[in-house]
Amino acid sequence: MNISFWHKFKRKRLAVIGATVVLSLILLSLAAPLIAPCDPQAQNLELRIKPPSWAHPLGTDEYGRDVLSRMLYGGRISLSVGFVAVGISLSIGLFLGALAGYFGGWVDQVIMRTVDVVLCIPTLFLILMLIVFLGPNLLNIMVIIGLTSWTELSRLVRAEFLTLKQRDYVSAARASGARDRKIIFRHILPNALAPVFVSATFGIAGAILIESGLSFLGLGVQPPVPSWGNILTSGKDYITQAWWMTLSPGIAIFLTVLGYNLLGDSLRDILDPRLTVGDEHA
Amino acid sequence: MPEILSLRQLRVAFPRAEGAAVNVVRGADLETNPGQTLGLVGESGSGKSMTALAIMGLTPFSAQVSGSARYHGRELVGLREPEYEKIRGAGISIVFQDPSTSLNPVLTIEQQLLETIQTHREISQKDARNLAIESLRSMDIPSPEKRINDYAHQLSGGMKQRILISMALACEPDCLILDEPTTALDVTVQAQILDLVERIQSFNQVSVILISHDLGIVSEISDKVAVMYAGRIVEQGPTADILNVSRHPYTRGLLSSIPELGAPKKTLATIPGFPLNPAELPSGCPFHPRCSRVQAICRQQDPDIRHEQDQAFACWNPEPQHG
Repeated sequence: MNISFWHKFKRKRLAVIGATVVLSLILLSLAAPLIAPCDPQAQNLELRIKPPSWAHPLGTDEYGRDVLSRMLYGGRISLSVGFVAVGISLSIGLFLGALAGYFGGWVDQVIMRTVDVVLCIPTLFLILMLIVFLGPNLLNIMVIIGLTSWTELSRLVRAEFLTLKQRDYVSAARASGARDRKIIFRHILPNALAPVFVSATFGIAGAILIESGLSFLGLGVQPPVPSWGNILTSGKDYITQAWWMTLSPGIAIFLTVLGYNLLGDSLRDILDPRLTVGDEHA
Repeated sequence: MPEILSLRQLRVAFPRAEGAAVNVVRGADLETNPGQTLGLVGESGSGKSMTALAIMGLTPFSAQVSGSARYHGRELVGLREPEYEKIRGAGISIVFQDPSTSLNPVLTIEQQLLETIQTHREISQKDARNLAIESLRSMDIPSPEKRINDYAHQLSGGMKQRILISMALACEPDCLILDEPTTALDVTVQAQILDLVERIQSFNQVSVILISHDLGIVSEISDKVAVMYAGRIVEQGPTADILNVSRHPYTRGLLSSIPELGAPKKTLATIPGFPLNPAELPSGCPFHPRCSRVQAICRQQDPDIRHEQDQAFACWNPEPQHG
């Protein structure tokens, strides 16, 4: 990544939009304690289900809690689930994919057949089952999403390794006496990272969506701790009277996923040399 | 003179799911001496690069290497990987054909050079860096202390090839294999690289194996020439003999197809037919379908190597010694 990367990035409108959305959501969640007008869990039963006002810009919920504050704190949950889950799946996917692609043979067979088996099980149901067994808390959710989403990444990394290990500079490194470990981590891995970044960006969006879904089903982060999914759930009972309770988390989830997907998409365009030959405008 | 590298009946075969294995190298005999350059010539698919890879122990996973390749008397065929790693780069080095793909695009020249040096030597970062700069300087690279921070894409093809050669020589191996080192370069740079190779070879007493499909280039700087055809060394001998009194019709064919500068214009001589597919070798001498001196026996039996004076060749009906 160098000057030409930033040059291309700046010229891609969708990349800039995606990055702006993602960055501002990250900043807003990080700054939640500073900018939230109220305590997200403080109830005020006199102010139940009030529409947006100056004091409560996004209205209040059925316990009179400030929806904006709950949204900001909920963003922290979504983002941490996104990053930690992808971090876990990235580590597993990179490691297993690298082993399979580099060594080939029976190592490859064992790892890739395991991937096939894991892919056979519908992910959402696997997650639901594990959550039911292990209990719905933030750590479990992050770990379980991470543990069930590494398969595609490992296939991607394996494919990259399969092509990259044939490169002349890999033979040259081996010809100068380099060990396998050095070749894998120093010579091949850095060259394989571009598509991995792209896939990780999509992965964050996916993890956030899964967490919201789990929370919506009541198997995610448990109330009163706010998460976008459980704000949405509690709002759905009042959807005919209090549109603001469902609209805000809906829009937030939509924007976040859209932001990460736009970013991932444009990163792929920028980082893939085969796609950058022609027109670079988005 | 003790030889550095000696190959005896070296074979590389690729087994197939169906049918017989494909023999890419079919019994190569070679030796190299310190301070000498051996030219290994042949057309595409003749097995010359595979011979080099077999020496380095870098043949593809599915290849079966047999026969013998000794480095200072030590058997390389079947050598365990950790032992081989100590020889690669420190004892025998190789420079590949295309300099533009042989450098890692995400690492600087310094990182790659230092890595090679520190793989084989216990040496501080600073000393390694100085050594790297010196080795670049000896390759005629201008302002090496600046170039060392560059990435591959910032350098020209000739520059990259010099860097690769200096990388190959950084740990002072006594055997250097150059696999078509000039094929991807233009003619003037080609000449510079060849000069460099000659200098290295005489200065460091390195034994060089120069692989090329261009007998012209090889004959310029080699002491000995070996000609490969269909995985076999069909003729070898001192360069002057090969150029003047080659015995194998294939060598003659190669020689007559080198264009001569300033010679009157005429149609360039060619060898009829096509290079062989190693999976479908004809019976007998594999060159017989293209040979002008073919006899009945050529179609039935592959000739053994014959030694006459300093030359060795595999032909039933060799060209006469004079004429």
